[in-house]
Amino acid sequence: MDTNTEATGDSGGDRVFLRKASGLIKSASTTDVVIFNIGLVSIGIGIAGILLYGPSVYPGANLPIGIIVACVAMSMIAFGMITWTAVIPRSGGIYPFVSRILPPPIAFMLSWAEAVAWLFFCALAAFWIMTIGLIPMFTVLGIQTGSAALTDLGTTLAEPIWTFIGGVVVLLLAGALLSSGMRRYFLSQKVVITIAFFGTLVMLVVLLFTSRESFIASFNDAFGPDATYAGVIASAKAGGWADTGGFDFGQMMQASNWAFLPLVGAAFSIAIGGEIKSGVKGQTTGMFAGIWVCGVFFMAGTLLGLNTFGYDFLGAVGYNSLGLNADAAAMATPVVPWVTLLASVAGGSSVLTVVMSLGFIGWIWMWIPGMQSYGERAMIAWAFDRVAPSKLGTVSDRFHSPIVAIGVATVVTTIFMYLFVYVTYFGTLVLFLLVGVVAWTIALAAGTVFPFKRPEIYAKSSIANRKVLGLPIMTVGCFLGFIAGVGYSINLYLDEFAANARGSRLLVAAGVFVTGLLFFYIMKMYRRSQGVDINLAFKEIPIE
Amino acid sequence: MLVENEHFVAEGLSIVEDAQEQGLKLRILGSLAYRIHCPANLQMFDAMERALTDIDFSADRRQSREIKKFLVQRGYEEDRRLTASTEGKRYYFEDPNNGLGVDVFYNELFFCHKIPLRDRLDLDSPTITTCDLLLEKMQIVELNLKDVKDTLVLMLEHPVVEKPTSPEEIDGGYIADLLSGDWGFYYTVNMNLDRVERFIPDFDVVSAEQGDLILSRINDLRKLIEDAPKSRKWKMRAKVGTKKQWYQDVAPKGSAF
Repeated sequence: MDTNTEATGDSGGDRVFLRKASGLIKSASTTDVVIFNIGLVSIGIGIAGILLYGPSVYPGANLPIGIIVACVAMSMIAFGMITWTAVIPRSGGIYPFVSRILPPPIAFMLSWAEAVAWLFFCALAAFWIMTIGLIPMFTVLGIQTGSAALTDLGTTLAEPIWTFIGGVVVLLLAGALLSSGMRRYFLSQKVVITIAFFGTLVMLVVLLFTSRESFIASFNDAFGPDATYAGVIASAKAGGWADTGGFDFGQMMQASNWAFLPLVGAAFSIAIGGEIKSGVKGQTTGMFAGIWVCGVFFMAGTLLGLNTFGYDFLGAVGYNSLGLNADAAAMATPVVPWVTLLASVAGGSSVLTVVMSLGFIGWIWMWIPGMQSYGERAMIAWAFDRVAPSKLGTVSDRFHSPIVAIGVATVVTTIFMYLFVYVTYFGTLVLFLLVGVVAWTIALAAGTVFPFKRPEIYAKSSIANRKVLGLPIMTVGCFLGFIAGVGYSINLYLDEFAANARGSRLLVAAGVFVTGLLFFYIMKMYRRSQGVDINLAFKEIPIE
Repeated sequence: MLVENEHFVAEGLSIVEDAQEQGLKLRILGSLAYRIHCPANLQMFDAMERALTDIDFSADRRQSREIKKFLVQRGYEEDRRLTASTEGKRYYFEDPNNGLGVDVFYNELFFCHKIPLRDRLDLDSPTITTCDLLLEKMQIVELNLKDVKDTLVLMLEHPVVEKPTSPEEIDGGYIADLLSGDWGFYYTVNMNLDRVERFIPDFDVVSAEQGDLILSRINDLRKLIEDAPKSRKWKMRAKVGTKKQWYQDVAPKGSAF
């Protein structure tokens, strides 16, 4: 339609507008962005990780302070990312950012690394839906109702082949949902987050109204005499677990990794930066709401969990169940003692168990299409810059969605799913988070100099005239984000449990970056054979 | 004086005709369609310096694959970034030789408000219907002078009737029916009819007699819209009014990727 500029007219005080073009409808409202980011944090996963790993792996860690530290650090990263999206409001994760300032091979390598990392966590979530969602739910329901069929179902789903098939079905469902268009995806997220929030609120209420004594009685009733509350604590202490007492800064920082890990999702709206209606406002609201709403829920879940279950018990039951206790016969729950399991025991009702479990499954589900879309959007952006096969950027004439990119993301996550189920070593590669955080940290470092290196782009942005201490706001925001990114990269590296960045695992992480470089140079040679110089694409100024 | 890019009209008509031969339904909308549908007042577009900038079509999404192939065979190149950004709801093509742009909107025109078009493509040719052309302008919250000019000429040349018997008549009954279920759209259309009315005296090229004719047609349309029974949803939304945004935001045209 029209693309002319028109002078403003006036008739008797009435006004007409300057409208340069027919415009474009963007699919994501501010509410959609808030839900997208909160879903990609996943309140359920956050509370579960903090309560399971916090006291057991990092005894003596002050969890509430750890949560606050993680929220503050993630806010600094979000600040930097918001300035990036203000300057380059495009979809594709960090790719549109770094590709306009860093050398092309490095830029592509970073984007490749983050895409692989987030697709890894997408597959991990599908694996978790089976292993910490459905399987424990059916197991506990079987115990609570005395139904052998439900217990058997839990047992069957725990068999590798059924875990794999179930996970693949979940991944295919996510792919199908994304194929139906982003509007439908955003609508589905509203439904899922409602279920998830309801389940979490029910869990918090159960914890609030369950006394320690009542929980002990319920726990002993459900799992005794094989595992009793006092026996779990005693066997863990005998096996080496001990609360160091006092304030241990190192333990607190490392435990905060389990709050930081999910909070990274609060900035995932950079994947859909070009599709957000209200631009910077939507990104700012979405990211900070993602961090602090989730932070409040993390805090509430943690405090109530500690109050109801007790620090020593949480530490002990996790310690024994995670295989940290040298004594293999140490008392433990029949399945991993995620908070949903313990809250279900506290609730003592099969209805509450289903509600809380579905809420937890809802939180895990929200990672899956969200992270899959992150990988897809990166692939589409690569395709348009010709650093990946052009087909990846094609919208299907039949399905009206980027079906090739969705298909590739689904295949990659299915392979990851297979590895999770059948290769034990793969399940220990949580250090992929470190890969993603390092990629983001470099992007934030690049952002500190962007206003000076690419002034022609920066000058056109909505934040061009905003200064802090005389410096461009982007320089300040990205510097703060860079500091936080470096801090948590080191924190994760030092954490032998969370990231376990040692030996072959570190090589795997390095391999992710190297394969990105290899892919770039292969594509570069291929494009050269077609007479195309892909370096030129990197010099394009983004269309505004 | 010939308007800038007058030759776009010939190209637009040629595209519709050639597409029709291949069984493809493409209907012109936008400024080009206004010129085609208002032959008696072409001098007004020229006098108001109403330039043509590109060619816009509406089409049935089920034919998107064939339409893309057809336009590519004519030498147009697809803007794949825009296709990806709109998830195939809209395609943009450009002739690399002369920069002529072709927008294809599938099934509907949905900027500030939704105008369904898929099942109305057979009602007129080579353009969309006069009533859809009017709605195309009246759905715009940030109306600009070009939109006002187009609307003035359209309403000068075409009467508004409740039940049209010819494509040259604006189907006021359809507009009233569409708006009776959507308060937001109703509000925007009324706001724009008021704007257009206030702008009538501003254009020297529109005589007093012509101005009166346009105003009477605006009033005909207002009456049809007001007389139409409103849905429950319309009434409930009306109670909220403009305290809540009543239209969809439109971002500047550009790529999401």
